[in-house]
This record gives sequence, C-alpha cells and structure tokens, in this order.
Amino acid sequence: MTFIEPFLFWVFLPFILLPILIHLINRMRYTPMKWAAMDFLFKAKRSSTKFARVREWLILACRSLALLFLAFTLARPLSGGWLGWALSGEADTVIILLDRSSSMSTFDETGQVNKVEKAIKMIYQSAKQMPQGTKFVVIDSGSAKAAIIDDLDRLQDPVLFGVTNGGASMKDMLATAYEYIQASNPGNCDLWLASDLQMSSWQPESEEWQTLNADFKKLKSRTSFRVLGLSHQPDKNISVNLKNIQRFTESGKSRLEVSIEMRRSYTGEETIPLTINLNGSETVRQVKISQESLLFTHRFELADGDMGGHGFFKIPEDRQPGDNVSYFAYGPSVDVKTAVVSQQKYAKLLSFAAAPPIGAASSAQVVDKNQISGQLVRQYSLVILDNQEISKKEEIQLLKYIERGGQLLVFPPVRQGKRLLKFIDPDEVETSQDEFKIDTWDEFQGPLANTLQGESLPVNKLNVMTRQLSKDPGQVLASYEDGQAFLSRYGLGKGAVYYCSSNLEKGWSDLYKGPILLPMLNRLVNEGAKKFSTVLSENCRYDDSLQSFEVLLGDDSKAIKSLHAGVYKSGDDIRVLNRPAFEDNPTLISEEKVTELFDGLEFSMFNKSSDETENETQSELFSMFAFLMLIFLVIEGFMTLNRPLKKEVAA
Amino acid sequence: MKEIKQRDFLDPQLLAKLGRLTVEARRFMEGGFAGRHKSPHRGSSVEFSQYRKYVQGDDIRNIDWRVFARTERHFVKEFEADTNLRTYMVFDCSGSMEFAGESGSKFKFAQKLIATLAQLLVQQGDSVGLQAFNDEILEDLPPRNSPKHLYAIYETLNDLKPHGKTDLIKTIHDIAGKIRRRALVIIFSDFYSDIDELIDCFSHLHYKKHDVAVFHLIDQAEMQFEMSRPVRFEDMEGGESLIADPVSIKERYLTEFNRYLKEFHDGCLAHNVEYHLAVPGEGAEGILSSFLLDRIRGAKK
Repeated sequence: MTFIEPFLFWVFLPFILLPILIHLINRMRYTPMKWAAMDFLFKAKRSSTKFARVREWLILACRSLALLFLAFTLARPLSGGWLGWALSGEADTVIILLDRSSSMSTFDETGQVNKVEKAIKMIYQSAKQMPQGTKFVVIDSGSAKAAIIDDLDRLQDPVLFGVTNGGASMKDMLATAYEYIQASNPGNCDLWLASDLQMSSWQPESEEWQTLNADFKKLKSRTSFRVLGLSHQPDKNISVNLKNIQRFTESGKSRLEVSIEMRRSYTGEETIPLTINLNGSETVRQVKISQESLLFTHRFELADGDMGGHGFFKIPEDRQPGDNVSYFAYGPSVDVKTAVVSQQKYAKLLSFAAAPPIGAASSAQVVDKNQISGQLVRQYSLVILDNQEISKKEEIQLLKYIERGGQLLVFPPVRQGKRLLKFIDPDEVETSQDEFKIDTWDEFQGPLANTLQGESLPVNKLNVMTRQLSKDPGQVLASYEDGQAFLSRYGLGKGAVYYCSSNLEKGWSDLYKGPILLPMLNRLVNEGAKKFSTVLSENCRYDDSLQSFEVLLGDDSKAIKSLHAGVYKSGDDIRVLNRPAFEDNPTLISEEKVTELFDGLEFSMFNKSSDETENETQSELFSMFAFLMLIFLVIEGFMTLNRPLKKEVAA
Repeated sequence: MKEIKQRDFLDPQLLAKLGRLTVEARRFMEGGFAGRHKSPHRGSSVEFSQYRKYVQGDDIRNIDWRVFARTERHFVKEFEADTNLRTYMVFDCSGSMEFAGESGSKFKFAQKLIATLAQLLVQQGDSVGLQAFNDEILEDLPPRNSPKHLYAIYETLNDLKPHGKTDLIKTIHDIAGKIRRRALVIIFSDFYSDIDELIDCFSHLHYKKHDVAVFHLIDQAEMQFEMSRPVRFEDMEGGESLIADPVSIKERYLTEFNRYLKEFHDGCLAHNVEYHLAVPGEGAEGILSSFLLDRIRGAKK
C-alpha cells in the first residue's frame, strides 16, 4: 500500500486508539450511585455480559476501523497500479532501465501507444510525483549507457527514447547501473526496470545474474528494484525475417537467393501479401501459410555485371510493426577460397567439405604451408591447419590475416610446450575407451548453430575417442560432458581462430562422416568471405561509426542510426541492419523467474499483462476508503442505537 | 397545648381534595366500636337482619312481643352490626426506600400516602395503626381512632429514617399472625423480595380474612434506567457494589425489571390483593384517588 500523503497517514494512525482510550477512561470515570434494585442489575449483568462485551468490542472495532480508514482516506492511498507501486520508496536517485528493443514496438488495443511509449508514460507520471531533488538516470537498451535526465520531459522525446529495432540485455543494463551506483554512491537508489519480459532480453540462465545479484548485495547504497512488466502480447501477430542471403553465379549468370521466414502467433490457412522491394522496384507476392511458421526462398535473377543492390521484404502493418520488415543488400560476386594445410590422408575430404555449395564462386585447395605465408594468405576466407607446426614468422602472418577478418580452424595434434597462435595452449592427448560425448553447444550462433529450418546439428551423436584440449578454452562453442571444450573460439580483430579438440582421423573421432563437419566448415567459409564483401549484415546495436553513413533504406530521422533497421552506405561500404532474430521469439520469462533473479534484494514487480487503461491501473483508492469508513460508521451507529423496549410495566 | 408542627408529608390541599372520599372496606371488618363498616356480627343498627328463637341469656328487650302474641313463642329480633375499620399501615423503612429520583424519595412519598390515609381514616372514625419495619419491627402503633393517636402516628412517621436491610416476608407473616381481628392491611414497600414468598405472605393475610392492599413504590429512574456513563451501583441495603455500563446492560435490566413488575402485579390480583403502583413522580392525589374510588366501588357491589 502506498500513499501520496504518507505523512498524514502516520499522523492520523495513532488516532485509531482513541476510541479504546476513551472507552478505558470512561470506565475509570464511573459515577457512584445508590441503587435499590440491585438484584436486577446483577441478573442483567450476568446474562448480558458476554453479548455486551462482544458488542462493546465490536463497536470499538468499528470506531477504530472508521478512524483507520479516515487516515487512509486522508493519506490518499494508491491502488496496486504502477503509480502507487513506484512511489512506495523514498529514493534520492531513480535509475530507469528502459527496454527499447524491437519487441517493445507492440501497440496496445487502441493502436496509438506502443510498449515503450506506455512504459515512458507510466514512468513519467510516477517520476513527476517524486520529491524535488530526486535524481533521474536513464539506461536504455539501445546504448546501455547511464544518462542523467535533468528535464523529465525529455523522457517523452521519441527521438531519444523511442522504440528501436535492436535487442535488449537486462543484465547488461543492470551492470551499467551497478557501475553507476558504485561510482556515484547514492544513499537510496530505486531501479525501475521497464521491460516486456521477453526471455531473450533477460536470459535468466546466464551465470552473470548470480554475479550481478552478489554485486548489488555488496553495495553500500540501499537499492530497490521495481520491475514494470509490459507482458501483454497481441492476439495476432505476423513477423517476417530474412534468414540467409546468397549470391550464386552459374554459367556466367547470377542469381540472388534470399531465405525468408514468416512466423505467426496463430494457425489457420491464409494468404499474406509480401511486398518485395529490390533496388526500388516493388512486387507483391502472395504467400500462403497454414502453420505457425513458413520458411521459403525467394530468387532474384540478376542482370549481367550486377554490382550489387538492396531491398526489403515487408508484410502488412499489424500491432507489432517492429517485425514487419526485413532489409537486405548484396554486393558483387566474390571468389571464396579455402586453404587446407594438411598432410593427412583425409586432407582431400577436408577440402571437399570446405568447398561452398555448387554454383557459388568458391573453391578449396590442399596447399603447402608456404602458400599461406606472406601476402598469399590474404586471398583465403578460411585456412584449416591440421596437425601443423608453424614458425614464428608464419604465426605473425596468420595473426594479421585473422585480424583482417580471416577465419582459421585448427585441428590437433598440436605440439605441447608452447602456445599456438597466442591462444591455443595444448594439453596432453587423451584417449578414452568410453568415448567423449558432447552434450552442450551453441545452437543459436556460430559454426554449430541450428539450420535455417531450425533443426539442430547432431553434435551430441559425434563420437570422440581421442582429444587434445587447450588449457585456455577461450569462448567455448561446444563442450564435452565433463565440461571441457570441444570447439573453442578466440576472437581477434575482425576474424577468429577456432580450435577443434579432435580431428577427422578414425582413431580420433567420426567427424569425417560429415553431418557436423560440412555445415561447420560452410559457416566458417561464409564468415570468412565477409571480409571480401562490401556488404555487412548485422543486428541493430549501438555503433557510433554508423552515424556518418547515408540512409539508403529505412527511417533517416532517428538519432542513433545503428539502432534502427535499414540499409546504410558509406563510400563502398554497405551496412544492412535488422532486428535480432531472437526478438521474434515471443517466449516470456515468468514472474517467478524474475523474482528469483533478484533473490535477496529489495524487489517488487508490477506486471501489466493486459491492455487495461492507464486510469484503471493508477487510480487512487480515496473513494473506496471513504466508503469503507462510512460503512463502519453506519455499523457502529446501528450497534450503538438502543433498540425500542416494550414497556411491560403493570397497570 | 401541643405545638402544631409543619410536616412535609402533610398536604392540606391534598387532604381537602380527598376529604369528601371515604375509605371503605372491601370485606367484613371487626372493629371495637360501632362504625360505618359492615361487621360479620349482629348488632344494633337500624337495619333488620333476622329472627331467631330466644335462648336463655338473651336480652329480653330484644324479644319481639308482637311475634309472641301471634305465635306464643319467644323470638328475638336481630339487626345488622356496623363496626369501625381497623387499618394497619405496614411501612417498609429499609434502606432501599431511600432511593430518590427527580421527585424525591420513595420513603417520603410513602410517608405522604400513609399520613393522608391515616388522616382520612381517623376523620371518618376508623382506627389506624402503624407498623414500621426493616429487618425488624421498628415501630408498632396499634390501631386507634383518636386525634391524639393520629398525632402520634405523625410523630412516628416524622421520626422514622430509612436504613438497614429489609425482611419483608418475615414482617408480613408476623403481622398476619399478630392481628387477630379482621382488618385492612395496607403495605407500603418497594417489594424487592422473592415474588413467590410475597404471594405466600398475602395468602397468609387473606387466610386471616384481612383486606389487603399494597402500594408498590417504584421510582421512575428505576423503571427507565436512563444513564449513559459507567456507574458504580452501590446497594442501599448492604455493602455490595457493581460497576457497569448502563448502556450495555439496560436492555437486560429492563427486561428483568418489567417481568418482575408484571409477575408481582398478576400475583397480587390472583390473590385478591389490591395493587397500586406508586411512582413518586406521578403525585399522591392520583394514586390515592384511584385507591379510594376503587374501594368505594368495591364496597357498593
């Protein structure tokens, strides 16, 4: 329970004892009286004591409750809505953590206000009620930086705090908040977290939450967390998402294949008009869909000598406009090369697996080490080192290649005793009779991610008999049952080194069978090919460098371009930004789970799971308490009134 | 010459108003003198009653010679006997009678009633006695009809003070046993005793062929119980006390009190006891008028 005038409540609260005090004083201040008919008094007292006492206490209770409700009424209590809920603290600093991710673009039933606007409206309303001198700091999901707000009206500026096409990481925002609190050391600090409770924004399974929780507990400042959940979702929503784009050249002719996924929050057959824009010319394709999702490929035949272009796929507007459009761009045809440095008998197999799909301008070659030394290495997208020792000079060349966006995949065995390429620190070769099983891998991104259709790779079916681990596991992309890394990634510059702890040899593993090796190498090749492309497709995220880019497609009125989907150009560089795919996942984190994340911290949650209006959630309870007070006064009056007595006095 | 004292309980105006009314007996009375009330015995009034055979010892002056001339037998002519009324005023002087409402105490009101009735009775030549009691007989003035005796009653009434506990039951039984000849017994009390035992007392009086009337002295305050603040009730006849909130016990008190009044009233009527509720606030004139007129009507029947 919260009050607009809490002082009045505390002032009037002691008054509820007044009836009891008056009653006790009255009892003590009795009048002595000589009485003749004592027998009747004794009889009356005996028989009416029980009832009279109950009635007496009920009357007192009614009086006290009436006064209590008067105190409530005067203190202007607020409903369990956000306004009252947010004002329950006495913070001198309020840190607002605002989720501006794409999923927050969902409009309410009126179609006028989206979740970000609604959250800002509620926060603004509450912030206005805070005492003078309260400091407001905003950390939004776009920049994840703390910004002090001097003028609360700035909160309502859609350019600064409108919805974006980016994702959100609540833990990153909380980490920023933690750093801010630690640096500024406010006395009492409220953290208002406004979010649509999308699971991807919270990632409750991340171990970082435990660290954050422990960090906040250690703070000297009193921190209070209040989560404003805007979890209502539209009944019907359709999203369109570009899953993959690839340019093929066959017999001198080029075509562009774009994999599109359409998702619905409902089922039933319908035809959705999909607007396709390529270099300004628009066509509408009628897409029949009966299931919740549909993955299909749209082909564009490209003219001879086509040097690139851009466009988008768009579905009709619905209540969540953030997921109705997906942008793309492509550049000129690029030769993609893979170098396999291996003396093993399966070297050919590796080069075959690394060769990109038929039709693409790509190739893979088994080469000597000297082919990757010096300037030659720059021509490759992917270099595979299998059972190789490299010199210091070769290592320097390879590191430069990686920094420029090249991908390097290393297979063991590797000579022990010194680090390979700065990162790989080989351990002893281990062999197990029971085989090493892989049980965890990153299914969402990286070389072992799920297929376009969403199917996971059979990584857990891989049999590893022999392995050589790296003492420095780097970023673990897949791990064995004992927690050791099967596939590690070491990022460097624009590229990365991948270390697979087993190889294709039969005594080591059955990687040679292909279901894992082929997609893994294919993805690494594609990743490496990006360094040759002038087109870079990314998720929307905060990036200052994009500010100088020209907007080819998209909204050019936005303050921070990198947070909004579109196609941007600077010189020859083309940047395609789309919302992250996980923003289309409607799975929500449960209130219990959120509560669990803040375990041991001062925490409360206001979840607005329906589209009810603002007034309903934020109304004062004045009238209700006044009515209750009246009710108790009436009951008290009824009980106090003497009932008419029949005079049975004899004539 | 005796000094004439001013008495609170004597109201000349009241006496003047009631002076024309008489106190009648509802039953045969046995007085010591000839009077205006019917006696169970034959006497020498002008009203013929019957003839009976002469027996030895009869006054020969009563022989009807005309009947002898016709029948040659001696018959004695008998007449109705009229006698005076002997009234016993039984006055409860216990502490509870001191209870005073806005119109004065029950005791003083009873004094007024007794004094007025005594005056009327002596005035019409009847005898009046006074038995004052609490838990014992305080004063016992036998019935007489002289003005001197009336003065003695006034003096006694004046000297009486209400105090102590009451033993109404024992007192009435004692009086019933003590009065040998038929008399009018008027009891002035608040009758705060067991109703069944009281009724037994009245039966005892009735058995002795006495004409019984009661003046039930109850104050308005006792009947209405209008108090709002907690009160420490102190027993007027003893050391008991009770702290209570009148508001909370009022309903129950009045229920009990009204039931008692009804039961007592009904019990009196059932045992041919004349009942009069005497509320000090209602004035003595109304109560006494009602008493006297009822008696006159009863005597004519």
